Amino acid sequence: MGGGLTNLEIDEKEGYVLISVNPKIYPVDVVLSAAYLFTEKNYVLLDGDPKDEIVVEIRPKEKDDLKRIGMEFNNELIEYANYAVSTIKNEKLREAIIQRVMLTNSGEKISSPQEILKRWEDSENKDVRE
Amino acid sequence: MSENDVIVRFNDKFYKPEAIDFALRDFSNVCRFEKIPDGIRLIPIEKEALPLLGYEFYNYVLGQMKNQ
Repeated sequence: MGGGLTNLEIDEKEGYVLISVNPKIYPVDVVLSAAYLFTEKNYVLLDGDPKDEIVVEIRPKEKDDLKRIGMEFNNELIEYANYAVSTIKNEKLREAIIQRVMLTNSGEKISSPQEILKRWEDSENKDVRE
Repeated sequence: MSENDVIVRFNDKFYKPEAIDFALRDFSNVCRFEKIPDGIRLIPIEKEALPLLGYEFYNYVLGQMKNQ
């Protein structure tokens, strides 16, 4: 049983592999990050249309396994896409934690650190008057 | 690529002009350039650099975009 998904087009004679990337799954930023990673050992070009199909051309600087390079690039896309998703999730988590920390004992929400300072100053002034 | 120069073409949907201009400035010790309707003609100062000049330039522009 063979087959399986493939987005690779290999040209052994010219020494490059074309990788077709769906921008609905992998945003341009993710593709750029993965592409940059490959510039150490390869020459990398971007083409296509970021709304339709992104085409990445990878040409190894030294003779190499083009299929393996293409498949490694696919792995890097998943790696960076996962990182991007985690970053967004963690950012929301951080905001939720900070919001919780800023809650007063009464449960009243405080919108900013400046408000915390103002409330402290008001309570200090109240103690002095008493 | 001719005997004396190489033409590089950038898809403007991906490559930012600022990144390309930065790269051209940084490559000024390696090559001269001429912007043409079809792309950019790079003329190496030393002929030995010609075979890989275009590819190195592509990578460099990608690096500039990553940095920016």
